[in-house]
Amino acid sequence: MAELKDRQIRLVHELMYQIKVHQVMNRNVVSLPSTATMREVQLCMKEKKFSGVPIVDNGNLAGIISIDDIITAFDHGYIEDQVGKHMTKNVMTIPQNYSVITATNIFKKYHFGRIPVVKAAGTQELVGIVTYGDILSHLLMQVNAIAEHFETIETLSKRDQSQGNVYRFEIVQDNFDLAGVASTTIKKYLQDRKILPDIVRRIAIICYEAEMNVIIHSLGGYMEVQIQDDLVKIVIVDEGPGIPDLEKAMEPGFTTANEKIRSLGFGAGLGLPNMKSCADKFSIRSSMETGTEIEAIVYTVEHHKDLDKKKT
Amino acid sequence: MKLRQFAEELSLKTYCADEKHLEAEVTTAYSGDLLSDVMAHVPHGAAWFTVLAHLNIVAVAQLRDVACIVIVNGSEPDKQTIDKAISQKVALFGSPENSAPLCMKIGGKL
Ligand SMILES: Nc1ncnc2c1ncn2[C@@H]1O[C@H](COP(=O)(O)OP(=O)(O)OP(=O)(O)O)[C@@H](O)[C@H]1O
Ligand SMILES: [Mg+2]
Repeated sequence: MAELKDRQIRLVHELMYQIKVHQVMNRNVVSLPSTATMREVQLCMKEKKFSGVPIVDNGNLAGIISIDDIITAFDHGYIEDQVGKHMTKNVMTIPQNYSVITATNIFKKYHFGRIPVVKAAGTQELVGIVTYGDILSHLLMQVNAIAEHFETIETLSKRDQSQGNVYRFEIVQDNFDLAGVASTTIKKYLQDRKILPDIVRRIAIICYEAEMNVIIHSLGGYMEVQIQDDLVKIVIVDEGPGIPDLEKAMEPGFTTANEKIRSLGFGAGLGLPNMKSCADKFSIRSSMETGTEIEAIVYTVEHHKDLDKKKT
Repeated sequence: MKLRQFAEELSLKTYCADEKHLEAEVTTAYSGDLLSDVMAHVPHGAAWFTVLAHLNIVAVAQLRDVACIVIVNGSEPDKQTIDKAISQKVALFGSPENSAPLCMKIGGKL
């Protein structure tokens, strides 16, 4: 558990560096040219409830007017002046490809409400504007997505302590939102164990096709993946309704998928044949009473496979 | 060709791509709308062109380590799909064009 928390915190930290300003910024910037009057800026602020308006000439940021500038203009009676004379000209900007951590540091240090975003370092071309709120809400969304991901993994996979290497995933009928989660999780475990990419690829195909078949064609079931020293064993069991003609189901192109399923890109009738060709050993049993059970083995150490071939 | 250049040459719309994605090599392209076909055959590092725009394309792309997904024919991914692409670190683009003209444009250059 502690390990999981650590990983989550590390992920959030990584996120802060990975998320770029252009991913969170607001692209619809309300701006005025430097020929606008202070009053026009004030009306714009009032209408949009902004506390600062960037001044843009020909797409380039020329300055910024804050609510303080407007108050001073009223005080000193130059509210009808053009803004060019009174705006803050050396505006702190941020290039769009910078990470949000840089933006966060600027907000912390200078207490700005917003930072204008420019196309690239050294240019003044305004492409957006970013507030601290924008960053927070994007981050929150990402953290939520990650938390959900971990929750699913937590509830879906029970690690068998005695063996230390069996992963079990419950698979729910018709749940397309979680489709692929079990397979992507397994793929990560295999990559962590430095299993050859080509072998990981084959196991991923088997897991994914099995997972999708249970989601699409069955009433639900589970997948159990055993990672042993020299092989990975994948067992998929569902609760029915069973496959009436196994031989037919194994034929490339045979499918009973309906129009809706096909519109999602499933139903080529290639899942089972692909699983079989990716496995070193493959067996499928199906009963109209109890459901379908598939067992697939992929060797992770090359010479075992050769030994096996010599035997047969 | 770097993914950055690939996306520029084909004027793709970016839904999700970070620096690491953009610096990665696109080695070839693959066009497919049947997930189990793509799952079995898409080459590692390929740009995958598809008309499918729903959530499940992200898992396939992630499992097969493609360089990116390009949703063609102007199909638009929904927010859930984009969020999933972001969280799974899968580069996701879009184009109003069909796979065939896109592949012809990029063909000899990869
Ligand atoms: N777990 C299962 N329970 C009941 N029927 C199944 C199950 N798995 C497969 N089938 C049947 O076998 C057929 C062929 O399965 P296969 O995975 O080869 O193709 P598909 O799922 O129809 O399409 P694809 O996998 O290409 O998206 C299915 O259409 C379905 O009728
Ligand atoms: Mg299938």
